[in-house]
Amino acid sequence: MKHRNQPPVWIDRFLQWRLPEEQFEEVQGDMHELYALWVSKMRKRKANWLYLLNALTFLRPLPKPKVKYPRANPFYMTRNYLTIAFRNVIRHKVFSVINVFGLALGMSCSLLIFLWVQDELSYDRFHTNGNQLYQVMATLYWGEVSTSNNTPDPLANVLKDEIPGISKVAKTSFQAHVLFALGEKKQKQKGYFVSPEFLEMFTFPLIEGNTSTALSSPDAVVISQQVAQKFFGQENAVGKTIRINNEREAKITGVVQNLPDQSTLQFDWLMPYETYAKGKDWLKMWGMLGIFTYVQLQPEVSRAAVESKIKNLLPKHNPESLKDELFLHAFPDTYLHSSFKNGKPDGGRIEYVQLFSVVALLVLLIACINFMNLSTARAANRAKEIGIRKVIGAARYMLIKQFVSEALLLAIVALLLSLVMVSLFLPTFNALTDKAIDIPFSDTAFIIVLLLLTLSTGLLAGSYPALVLSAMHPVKALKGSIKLGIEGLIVRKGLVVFQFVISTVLIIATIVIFQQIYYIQDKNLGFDRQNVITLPKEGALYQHGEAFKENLLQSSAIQSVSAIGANPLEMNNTSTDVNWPGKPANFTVTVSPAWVDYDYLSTMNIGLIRGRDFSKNYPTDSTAYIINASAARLLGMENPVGQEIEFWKGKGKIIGVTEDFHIQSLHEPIKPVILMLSSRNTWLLLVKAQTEHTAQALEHLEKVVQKFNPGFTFEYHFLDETFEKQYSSELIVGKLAFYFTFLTILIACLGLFGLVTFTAGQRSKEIGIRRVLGASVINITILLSKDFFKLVILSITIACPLAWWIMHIWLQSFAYKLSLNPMIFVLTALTALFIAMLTLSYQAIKSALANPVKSLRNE
Amino acid sequence: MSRNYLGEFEELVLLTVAHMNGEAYGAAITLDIKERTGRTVILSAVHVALYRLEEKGLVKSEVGGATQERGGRRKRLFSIMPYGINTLSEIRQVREEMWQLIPKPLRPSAL
Repeated sequence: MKHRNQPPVWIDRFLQWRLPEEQFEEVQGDMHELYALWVSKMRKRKANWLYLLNALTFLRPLPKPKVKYPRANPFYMTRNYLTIAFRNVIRHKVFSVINVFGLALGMSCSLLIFLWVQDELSYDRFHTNGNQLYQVMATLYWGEVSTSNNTPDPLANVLKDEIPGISKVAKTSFQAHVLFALGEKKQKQKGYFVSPEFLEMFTFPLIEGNTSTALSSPDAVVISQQVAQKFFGQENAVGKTIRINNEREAKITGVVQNLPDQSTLQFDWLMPYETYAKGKDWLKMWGMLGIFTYVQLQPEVSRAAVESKIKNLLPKHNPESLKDELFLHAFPDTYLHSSFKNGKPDGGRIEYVQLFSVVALLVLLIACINFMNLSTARAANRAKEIGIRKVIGAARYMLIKQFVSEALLLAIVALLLSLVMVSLFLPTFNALTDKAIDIPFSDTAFIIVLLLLTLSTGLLAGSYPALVLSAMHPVKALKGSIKLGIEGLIVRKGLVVFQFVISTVLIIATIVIFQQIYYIQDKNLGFDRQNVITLPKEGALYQHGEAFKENLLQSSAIQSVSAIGANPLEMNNTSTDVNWPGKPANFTVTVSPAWVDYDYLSTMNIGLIRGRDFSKNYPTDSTAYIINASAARLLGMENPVGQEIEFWKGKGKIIGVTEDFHIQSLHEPIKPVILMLSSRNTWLLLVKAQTEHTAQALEHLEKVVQKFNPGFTFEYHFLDETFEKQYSSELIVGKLAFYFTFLTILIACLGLFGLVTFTAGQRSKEIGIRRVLGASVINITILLSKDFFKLVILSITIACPLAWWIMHIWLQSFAYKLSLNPMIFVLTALTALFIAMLTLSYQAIKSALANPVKSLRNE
Repeated sequence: MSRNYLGEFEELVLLTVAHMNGEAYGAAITLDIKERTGRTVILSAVHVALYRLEEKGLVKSEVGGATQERGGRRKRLFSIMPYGINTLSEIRQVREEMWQLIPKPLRPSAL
């Protein structure tokens, strides 16, 4: 064909696009033939024009020479699909149950975590001014960098008067416990002393009383709905009086609606700040960081703008506070973003939220993939059905539709099952996480999320088997020699390894966490926390401390009594004020001071290395100091007893050195401690009971307390209980790890089960032949298990170093920890192997016992 | 006898297929009609007619005959079916009968 007489290519391309393939070839052939003729008879331009005209006429829909598939009637087809799906489920009951259960488990887990995350994210969101509310915090450079939300009292007024951009400021005391009494009813309630602006800034609506005036008079008190009901029942509380701490009367000026759980500020009462601050000159110093300060910025004012102005207020007013900086922390961030490292925000609880969200997604993903694997594994059984459907005329899309809808059906069943599971498990979950989560059936957003979840799970889980199954060659399917693709096999093996790695890591983690917890409980703290009763020095106990002590000691059940001005388990007070001759210049030391009463060391059973305890025989003891071994090392003294140091009591001699003892949780190392004698500054009584006579001691204690403080509630705690509470978060983590371990082991086993079923099905003919040739059941079982055995070993080899590394990091947060025992790893490896073997053996033995006739029949 | 309504154009195409005796295809038919009747027919019209004829069962088609002048493209060759011949002859008969009914003076020389 002459090349210059080719018709315009673009027209040809256009035809190719419009026409179906077979037709195009004929048409183009004809068109070219005609064109060749035209070109010889007329000018090329006319020929092109004719060509175009002819081509355009092909635009109308031509009756195609082939017959099209008629569309299947959707109603009848759906009914058929449902019937087949139902029959399939019934025929393989065990299998279907395992499949649905696995999916439901994954869904439940994700659902629970989702609900938890939602709850966490909702904290403090109910304040209408939330976006403009900030807490003033300080970055302190006292030796090491630390961040604190404690601020000085005078700061608030400076902020209000001098800093533009701030619309309101509220001073808030630390949480205080006071005794409320009305007639016979008595209860200790917690609350805050706050500036009147507090109620305007934060959204705590008053159901009785006026927000702007409620805290204006000094004897006012605003109580919560709960407290109002307890003391006044159904009557109006406003206007009534209630007795505070057995000292004074307060008038109820408002009742605040019950606080939502999702509020970091929890209180039963609010009283005016001035009532608290009156007379406390020490509180009003710039160097005393003793209260919280909240600010509300004017709208449109940026945080950075205000921060730059307040940054240097501390050094400005307090020459000792050299580099300390103030900054603003958004109030809604308090709950989730309160962890600081070196002065910079470093996450906090939000890390847990993010971690758990990822975990939820992972679990759901793994459950879906398991579901996919298990469904596909059963595919060989349905080969005949698929072959027949294809032969009769099912198009591929119809088969896909069928299998996806089967998966969707199972997903819906799984959803219902998971809702039941979640409802059943919620009470335990709430107890564990200290929340009150409920399934919000009435929340439309939630319902939509649920439906989306089910839909996506069903589609995702159903897509892979649908695509694989619908691509079967009908002849091969009917013949029975269908072999499903092996490309997915590597992915699936990888997945099983992944699941087992996670399970193994979790088992190890759980064991280590619990071991560490037992270690903590057994560890010698340097003092004896058993049988020590603590109670606050209230009222007469404070004023007549000596008499009270004497009275107590009259009982033989009580061994010793003392007092301290701190929480012996959480002594966070620090100071850099210590001086001693020979102290290097510019050497800043941080010590932990504590005020104690006589007999502290004997009550707490702290050993003395040198010297003696404070004693009434030596009046000079009022300016004496006792230090612990760490402090002695810090001060660089070989023989501290008799040496003079300068601290809060001025110049005084060290009269004793104690053994080291813990003053904080085991997350912290032992700090250098300086003890000073002062009955006045102590507020916590410590009563040591004789072992075996604790009940008697308590009885006597109560009697004496009532004698001194009639009308006060008798409240006490045991030191060892308080100790346990310190590690409650570790305990929760441990429990969660325990439950999670179970979950992942289950899911991993499901995954393994699916894989084994699949491979066994593929190899059924091979197994049949081997059996015929004389292999025993044991031979076959070992043959099948061998491969998976290798997979599990691989998982364990990956998991052990990984777990070691993770646990190592976790243990670093404890200053005192167990070293990782290799036995743990060995034990876990064996357990993992054992579990895997159990899973394997069921399927392996079943395949080995199968009648070879059945599998070889169709050859 | 089955009566098939055959359009005028379709009949033309069918006749052409019949006389081409198995060598009939789109382009050839188009050119033939142009030659014999002077009508310029569009290729796609011929194609459509051929498909309709095939659907009605008057012709059958098969693919074959890739020639150099078509650049190696195969063409679909149509050949007439007995049913097609019967239909044509039926039509011819009806025409003939009606022609005979016309009074002699109006008829040109006997056909």
